Amino acid sequence: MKAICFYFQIHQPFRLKRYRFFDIGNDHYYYDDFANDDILTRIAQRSYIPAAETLLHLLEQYPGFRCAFSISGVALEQLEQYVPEFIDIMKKLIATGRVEILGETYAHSLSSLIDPDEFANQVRVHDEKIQSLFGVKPKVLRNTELIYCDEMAPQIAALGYKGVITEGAKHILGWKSPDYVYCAASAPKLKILLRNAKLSDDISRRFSNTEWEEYPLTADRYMDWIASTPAEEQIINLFMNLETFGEFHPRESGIFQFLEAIPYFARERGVEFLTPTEAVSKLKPVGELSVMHPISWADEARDTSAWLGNKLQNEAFQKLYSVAERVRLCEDRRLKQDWYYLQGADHLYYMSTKHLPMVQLIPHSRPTKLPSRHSPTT
Amino acid sequence: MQMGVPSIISKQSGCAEILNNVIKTDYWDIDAMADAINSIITYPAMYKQLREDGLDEVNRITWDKAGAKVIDIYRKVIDKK
Repeated sequence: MKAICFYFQIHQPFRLKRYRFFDIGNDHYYYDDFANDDILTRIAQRSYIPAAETLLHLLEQYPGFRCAFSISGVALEQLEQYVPEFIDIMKKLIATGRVEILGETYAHSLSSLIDPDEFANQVRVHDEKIQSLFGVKPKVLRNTELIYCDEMAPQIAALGYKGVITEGAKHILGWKSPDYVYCAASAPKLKILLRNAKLSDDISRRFSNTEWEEYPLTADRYMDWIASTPAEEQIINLFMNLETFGEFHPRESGIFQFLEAIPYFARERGVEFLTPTEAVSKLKPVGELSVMHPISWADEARDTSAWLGNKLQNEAFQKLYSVAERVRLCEDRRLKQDWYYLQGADHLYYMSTKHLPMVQLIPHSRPTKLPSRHSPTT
Repeated sequence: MQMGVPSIISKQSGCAEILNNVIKTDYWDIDAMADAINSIITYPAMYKQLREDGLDEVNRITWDKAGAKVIDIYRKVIDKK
């Protein structure tokens, strides 16, 4: 029996205000509260809340429907402050018993690439936050931007996770399909779920692209594609940002109606839904997967070059984590809070020069005025 | 840029439309300019990146390429007719 595993990411960084060189040592508040409030409120109203309500409706209508979310710690803090009603909707979703919350780093950071102690600490703090807000303990991990490599697997397993989700990168899979459960070569007890990039991006990237040859994509045709994958392929992992619904693809594109129709046509074709924990528990791994160098779900390269591709990014990254030990030893609450907020991978992403001038994934993601950084032409 | 010197230019200048590996500021924003100058001096990575990537970028802007674009446009117009 074929199954779909839906996973939706929710993350917003603490966007930084214009911070002058001369502010160093004088101004210890780095965040653009207005932008954070404005952007999060807008995205919540256009995307998060309508999408979550749609999913709640689907959970009520289709007993077999399941899905998973991950919400970064920094996003949770902002949601609690600016859009608390979304937290209430999330509680209703989790109360159905068919919505899973995945673990991740609290700060949506790249600590897994450089500082195992910091990584473990952030994952633990995130688990505690999820437990206190929603009363559940994550069992499957999604690292920041689905970054994964063999070196991380033993640590993730030691932290008590049953599975990890990552990208089904072609250069790792080769001839293999992402539509199976694998186990980590460096930690065989840790199961791996791989994102089906083609089918996920059909929704998240191409859905409202009028130049796409499959436009307009309907739910029945999409489910035909899924149902027609080889019979032995067990699980189709559709991992995407929740902003896909309403923000990347506006309501007028029909994305919400598409989502509403998915369970109906899935049921017609005998396709089930599983949460990540159900998938790693019920399905046997077909083999080991070795990932020597870190992969991610970003760009065509599916590597970490979007965050650590140039000298600026690397220097900032090294400098940030050079003080990690000292921050962990201090007891200043404000300092620790800044430490989390400044670790967000987005800050490094904004420094990327990979695809200048069109670096942005989403319109609001890049700060418009960064005088001490590369300024985009827009 | 062609001499490998990190550059700060005005957003309102013509070359701001085509250059990416420079720091762009509004021409009235003297604080941003001071900020940019301090950053380039203080952070070696910023200096190196602007220097190297700026040099690469400028070396890719050639009259041959501009000429080829113009020829391409003429061809498209002729083909349409």
